[in-house]
Amino acid sequence: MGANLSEKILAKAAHRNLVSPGDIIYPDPELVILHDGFIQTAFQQLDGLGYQRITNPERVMFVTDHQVIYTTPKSIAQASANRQIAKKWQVGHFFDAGRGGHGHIFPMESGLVRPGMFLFAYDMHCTNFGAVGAFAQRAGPDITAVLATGTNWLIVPPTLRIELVGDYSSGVHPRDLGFWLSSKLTAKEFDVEYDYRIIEFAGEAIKRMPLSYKVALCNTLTEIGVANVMFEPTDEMVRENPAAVKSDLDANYENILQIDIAQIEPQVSLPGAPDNAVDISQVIGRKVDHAYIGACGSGMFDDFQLAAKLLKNHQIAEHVRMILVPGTVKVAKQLADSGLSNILLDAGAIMLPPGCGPCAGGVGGPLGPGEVSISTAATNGAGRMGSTEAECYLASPLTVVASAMAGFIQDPRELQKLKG
Amino acid sequence: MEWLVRGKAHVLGDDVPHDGGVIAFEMVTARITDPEKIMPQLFAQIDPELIQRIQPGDIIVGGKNFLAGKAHNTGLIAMKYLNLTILCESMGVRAFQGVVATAIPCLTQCYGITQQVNNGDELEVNYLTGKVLNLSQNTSMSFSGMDQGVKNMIEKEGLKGLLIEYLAQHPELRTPLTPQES
Repeated sequence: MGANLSEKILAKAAHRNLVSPGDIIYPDPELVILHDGFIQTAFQQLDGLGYQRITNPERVMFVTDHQVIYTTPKSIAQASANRQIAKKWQVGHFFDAGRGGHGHIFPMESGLVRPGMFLFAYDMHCTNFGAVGAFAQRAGPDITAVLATGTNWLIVPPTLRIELVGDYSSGVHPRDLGFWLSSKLTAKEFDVEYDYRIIEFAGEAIKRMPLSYKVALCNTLTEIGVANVMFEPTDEMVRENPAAVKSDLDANYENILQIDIAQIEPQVSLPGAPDNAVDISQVIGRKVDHAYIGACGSGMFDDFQLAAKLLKNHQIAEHVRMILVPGTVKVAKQLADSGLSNILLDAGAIMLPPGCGPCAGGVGGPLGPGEVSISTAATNGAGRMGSTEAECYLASPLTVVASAMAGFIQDPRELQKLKG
Repeated sequence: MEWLVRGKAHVLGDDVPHDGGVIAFEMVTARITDPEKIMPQLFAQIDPELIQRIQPGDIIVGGKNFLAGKAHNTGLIAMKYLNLTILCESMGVRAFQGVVATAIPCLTQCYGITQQVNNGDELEVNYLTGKVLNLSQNTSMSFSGMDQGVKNMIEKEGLKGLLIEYLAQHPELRTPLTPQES
C-alpha cells in the first residue's frame, strides 16, 4: 500500500518511514508561524512559567496581518510588544505592519512556504498552504507548546480524496464549490466523515486551476473542522522543489468522491457559518450595505482582477461601501502597476492596506447594528465584522462585486449578461 | 483531579459555537485570559442569566458539535476556573484538543444525552468509566469513558502542565538567548 502526499510529508517530518491515520506523532516543523494577535499571549504564558527563550527560534516567523492599521491605543501597544518579543526571542523571521502582508498568503509568494514542507501555525487558515502542497498544522493555543519544545503532538488524520472533473460554469468560482461542498459535507449528504479529515483534491479539473483558485478552495472548507486541505503540487512545482511530493497511485484513502464542478451554481453562505450555503436564487434581492473582497481566501491578484473586470466603467451602488484588501504588499503593487487599482477606485471602492482587513473583527471597515454585508471573509459568525446585530453573508468575489454594484445580493451571471 | 463529579446539569442545544456562543467574539479578539474577567460573560450570548445559575463543579451538557466554529479557548479558561466539566453528543477534534489543553474533564460521545437530562438535574458522572447517573430522575446512562492518554494529559493540567514539565527537563530555557548563541 502506498502513501498519500500528506502521509509522506508527515512521515518525513516525524523522521519515520511511514505514518498511518491514528498514529500520534511529534513532527519537526521547518517553520512555525504566529500572527500578531497571539504573540503577546504566547509570550506571557511562557514568560509566566519562567521561559526566557524558545526552542529553534530561527524557525519561528511572526506575521502582522490582523492589526495593520492601529485603530486603538491597545493595538499600538500590542505592536510595540510584538517587536520587543521578536527581539528578545530572536525569531528568525519578523514581518511587521506593511511588510509581507497576510501571513496565509505572502509566505507562498515569497517562497518561505514551499511544496513538501511541514509547518505549524497558530491560525486555522494556514490550510491555505495546501494549495502548493505544503502541510501546515493548525496548533491554535497549543502553539506555545511548539515554541517551548519545538514540536507538539498530532494525530495523523485520515484522508478524503475529492476528484474534481468538468469545468466551472460561467459566473461560478471555487469559493462557490467550497461553500457547496461544506454544506453537503456537514449535512452528511455524501455519507463521508469530514471532521479532522484531510481533504485531498485531485482530478483533471485541478490541473486547470490557478493558485488563487486552489487557495480559495483550501480556505472555504477549513471552517467546517477539516484537518487540512491539500492539492498535489503541479509538475512545474515538483521540478522546482526537490522536496515536493505526490500521492502514490495505490495510496490509502478513507473515502473517495468524484464531483462534476459543472453542476455547481453560485452559492451564498447565510449568516452564522460558511456551511450555511444556499443557491444564490434563494437570497437574490437582499439589500446590502457593505461589500468586501479580501481576507486569507480571496486576497490574491486574480481575485481583484476578476473584480476589476466587472467593475470597469461601472459604479458601486450609492448606499454600498465596498472595501478591498489586497492580501500582500506584492499584490497591492501589482494592482497599482497593472492599472487595476484605478479601475477599482474609480468605481468607488475603498482600498485598505494588505492584511486581513475587516475579517479580523471589523478592523478598517466594521459593520453597524442592522447592517448587511456580503464578502469573501473567512467566516461569518455573529460579530465577526463588528456589530453582533449585523448580518454577514459570504460569497465569491464575482457575487460580491455583482451585489455591490446592484446594491442587493445579485447573481453575477446577470451582470455578465449585461456586460456581454 | 476529580474524575467522579457530582453537580447540576446545564443543558445546551446543538451546534453551540465557542465564538459568539460560549463567549462573545470581542472577548476572543481582545485576547482576554483572566478568568475573573471572562467568567461574568460566559454563555451570555446563549442565556444572559445562565452564569448566575452555574455553581462551581456543575456539568455542561452540550448537544451535537459542541464548541462549533473556531477552536478558541477563551471560554474554556472560565469553564476551567469554575471547575465545570463537559458531557456532549459530539465535538470537533480541534475543539477537543482545546478542552484537553485547558484540562477540562470531558466526554464527547454521549449520544442522546440532551434528551435524557433536564436543565437543573443533579448528575453524578464518572469520567473514567463513562457512567452517568441522573440522580434527579433516578436513571443511568453509559458512554465511552475517557481515553487513557487524554486522562494523563488532563491529569498533568493540560498544556500548562506540559510546559512546566518541559522547562524542568530543559533548564537552559530559563536563561535568555545571548547574541553568541543565536
